[in-house]
Amino acid sequence: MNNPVRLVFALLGAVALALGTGALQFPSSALQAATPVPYRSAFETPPPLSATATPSPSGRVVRYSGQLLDFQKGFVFFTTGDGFRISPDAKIDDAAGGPTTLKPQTRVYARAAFDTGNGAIVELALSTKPLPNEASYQEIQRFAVTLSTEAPNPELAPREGFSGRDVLVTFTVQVPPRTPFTDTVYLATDISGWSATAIRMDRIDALHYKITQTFKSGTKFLYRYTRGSWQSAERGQNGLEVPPRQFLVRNSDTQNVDNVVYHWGDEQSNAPDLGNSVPTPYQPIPFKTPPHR
Amino acid sequence: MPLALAAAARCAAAPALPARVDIRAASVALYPFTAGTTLIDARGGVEVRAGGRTLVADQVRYDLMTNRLVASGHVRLTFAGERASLEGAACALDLARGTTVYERLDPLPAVLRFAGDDPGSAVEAPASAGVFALADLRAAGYYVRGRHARIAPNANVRFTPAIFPTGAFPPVQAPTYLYTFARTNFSQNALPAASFDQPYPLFGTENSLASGHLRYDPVNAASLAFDERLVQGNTAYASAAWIPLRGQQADLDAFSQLRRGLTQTFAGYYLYGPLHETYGAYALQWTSPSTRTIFNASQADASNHASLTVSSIDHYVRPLATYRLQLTYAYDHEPATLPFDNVFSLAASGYAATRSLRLPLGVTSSLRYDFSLQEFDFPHQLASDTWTLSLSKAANRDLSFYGTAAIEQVADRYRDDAAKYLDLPDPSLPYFAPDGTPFPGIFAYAGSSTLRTYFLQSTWRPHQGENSVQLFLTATRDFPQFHGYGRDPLFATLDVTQRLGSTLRVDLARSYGFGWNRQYLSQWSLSLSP
Repeated sequence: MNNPVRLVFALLGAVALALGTGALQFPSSALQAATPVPYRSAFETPPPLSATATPSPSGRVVRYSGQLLDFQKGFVFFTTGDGFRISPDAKIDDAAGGPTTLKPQTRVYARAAFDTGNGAIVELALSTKPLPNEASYQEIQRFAVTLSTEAPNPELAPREGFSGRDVLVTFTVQVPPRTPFTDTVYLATDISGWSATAIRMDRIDALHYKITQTFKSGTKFLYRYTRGSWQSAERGQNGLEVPPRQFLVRNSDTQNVDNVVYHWGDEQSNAPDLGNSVPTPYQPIPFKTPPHR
Repeated sequence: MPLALAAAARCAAAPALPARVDIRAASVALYPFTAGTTLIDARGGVEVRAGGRTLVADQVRYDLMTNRLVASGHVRLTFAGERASLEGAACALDLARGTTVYERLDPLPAVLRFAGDDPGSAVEAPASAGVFALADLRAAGYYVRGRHARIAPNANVRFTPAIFPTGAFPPVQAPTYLYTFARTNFSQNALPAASFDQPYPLFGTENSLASGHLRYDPVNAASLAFDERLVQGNTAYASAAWIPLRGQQADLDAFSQLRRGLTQTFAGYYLYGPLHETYGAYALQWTSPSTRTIFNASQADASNHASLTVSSIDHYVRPLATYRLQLTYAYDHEPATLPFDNVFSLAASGYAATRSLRLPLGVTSSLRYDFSLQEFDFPHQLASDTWTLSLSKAANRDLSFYGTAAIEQVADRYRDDAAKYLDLPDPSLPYFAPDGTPFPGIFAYAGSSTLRTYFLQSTWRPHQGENSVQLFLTATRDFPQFHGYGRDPLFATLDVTQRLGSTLRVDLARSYGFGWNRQYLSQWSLSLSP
C-alpha cells in the first residue's frame, strides 16, 4: 500500500465490483416518480441487439405464437412473461400474411417470426384466436430480453384446465322415507341466490329424486336440498344443521352426483297429521279450512 | 421457540388485504366459473385502486378467488403519496401475499419482483410460468358488466351500473348489483315458503348479507320482502326477515352449535297485518351416536307448549328396511279451551320403510308404515297408523310415472265414561254444520276415520333434457266426509318447464282443485331459475 495510485485504483475497483454484484444499493427513499427502479441482477441480461437489425432475415426464421401482453417502445411482450425486441420496420399482418385491422395490443394473439441472425422479430401476425406454434420455446428463448421460466409460480395454486364446455350433470338424491309423497324436492344453490325453489327435481320413486342440468365446466358452486323453503331444508345424519355441499363441474361429457338426505328441517315429532279432519266433542266444526269460495 | 418466532415473524410480515378494491374502466365484466375461478375483466382506460396503490393499464384481469390481478398494456403503478411510480408492459399484483411482479421497459426491459409497497427492494428474476397468463374468455359469456366494480375481497363485488345480458333481447340495466362470491353458508333465511322468490342482494360482507326479495305466493300474491343474514362459519347464524306490504310479518331464525352434538335454535314470527299473531319456538338438541334428544318450548300468543323427545336414529335392517322409534312427553297450555287449560300427554311413534324394491316389468316399489299413539292425562287417546305404497315405472327414456296410495286410520277415542268426567255434550243432540245440516260428530263413528290418498305423477322429459311437462293428480276418499268440508276429492296440476336461454329457465304451473258442491279453485305458479 505504499503506492497511493494503486490504492486509489484498488478502492475504485472494489466499489465497481460491489455495484456490479448489487452488494451496494441505493436507499429506497432515493426513488422518485418515473425514476427507474434499481434492482439486483439475478441473472445475466442478454445484451441489447444491434441497431442494424433489418427486416430482411439475416439468418433462419423461426415462428413462435402466443398471446400479447403489450407492444411498446420496440418490444413485444407475451403472456408467458417473455419480452422480445421487434425490428423497427417489422411487418405486421394477419395469420395468412394479408393486411390486418388488428393492433398489436394486450390480449391479441400473435405469431412472431424471429430472425435467428439477430434475434429480432421481423414479422408479427395477429389474430383474435390462438395461432398454432411452429417453434419450441427453447428455440426462441435465447432471443428474449426478459425471460420467463417454465416452472410454475409456487404462489399459484395448481388448477385444472377447464374448457368451459357444456357438461350434463345429473343429481340423484335419496330422501328420508318419511318425505311426504306429494312434496317436491328442490336444489338450491348459491349461484341462484340461495332461492329455496331454484331447481325443481323429478321424483323417480318413493325415495329418489333426480334432475339433469347443463353447466359449463369449471363451474363451482355450493348447494343444498330443500322441499321449497328453508324451514324444510335438509339436515345431517344426526338431524343437525349441515354445511352446504360443494360441486365442481369438470371437463367431461356427463357427470353424475349421488347424494343422501337423512332428515328435513321441518320434521315434526311424529305426531299424527290429521289434517284438521277429525271432529271431536270439543271441535264440533270438523274442518278449520273454510269452504272454497 | 425459534419456530414460533419465525411463525410470528411471518404473521407480522403478512400483508393485510385492502378493505376494498375499486376498478373503473370503459367496461368491467364479471365471468363467474371461468377457468376454474371467477374473473373480472376490465378493459379500456382501466384504473385500479387497491389500498395505497393506483394502477393504470389498458386491461386488467382480477381473480376474485385468489385476489390476484394482472394488468397489461401501458401499465403505470403508483404508490401512496406518489413516492414511487413504475411504468411497464405488465404487472401481476398478488394482494393476498403483497407481492408484485412487473415487466419494466426502461432503461432496458426486465422482469422485477418485490414485496409490499417497497419497489426499492425489487429483484430482477425471470417470471414464473402463468404469472401473466390471461384466461381465454372468447367462449365465455359475462354475467354482469358495468363501469365500476367495487370489490370487498373474499366477500362480494358491486357493479355500477349493472348491465345483464339477455341473449337475443336487449340487455337489462339496473343501477347497481351486488354479486356475492363468499364461500359462506348464506343459504338459510327466515322467510316463509313462496312459490316464487327472487333474491336481489343489496349489501354484504364476508359474513353478512342483506337482500331484497320479489316474491309470489298464492295467499298474498306478489309482494316484497327484505332479509338480513349473519353467519359465523358453519356453527352459527341469525336471519331476520321482513315482509312489509302484503302478508305483513317479521321473522327471526337463529342457530348455534354450543359444542359437538349440542345445538340450539330459535324460530319466531310476528304477524301484524289483518291476522295478528306472535310465535316463538326454542329447541335444544343433543345428539349421541344412537339417539337424539330434543327439548322444545314454544309460545303462540297465549298458548304454551313444551316437550321432551327421545328418538332413535334411523336403523337400517339389511337388506330391506329402515325404522325409527320415538317417545315424546309434552305439556300444552291453552287458556279457556275445553276440556282443560293444561294438558300433559305421552306419545310413542315410529315408522318402518322398505328400500326401493325392483319388481317385474321394470316397476320399482316401496312400502312404508307409520304409527303414533298419544295418551293424554284425561280420558282421551289418539292413535293413527298409515300404510303407504309407492310404485314407479319408466315407460321409456322420456316418459315416467310415479304413483302412491296411502291409507291412514285414525282412532280418536274418549273413554266410555268420559262424558261423566268431562261434561261432554249430549250425544243425542247433534251439532249443526255451518251450512245448517246436522253434523253427527264423533259419536256417530266412535272417533274412527279413514283418510285415503291416491297420487299419480307423470313426467315427460324429452331426451332427458331440461324441458319437461308434468301432470300431477291427487284423489282423496275420506270417511267420514262432512257436507263438503275437507280435502278436495280431486286436485290436478299441470307443470311446464322450459329453458329460454343459458341464464333463464321458466317453470309455469296451473293447478285446479275440484271440491265438493261443484266448488273448485285454480291458481298459477311461476318460478324462474338460472
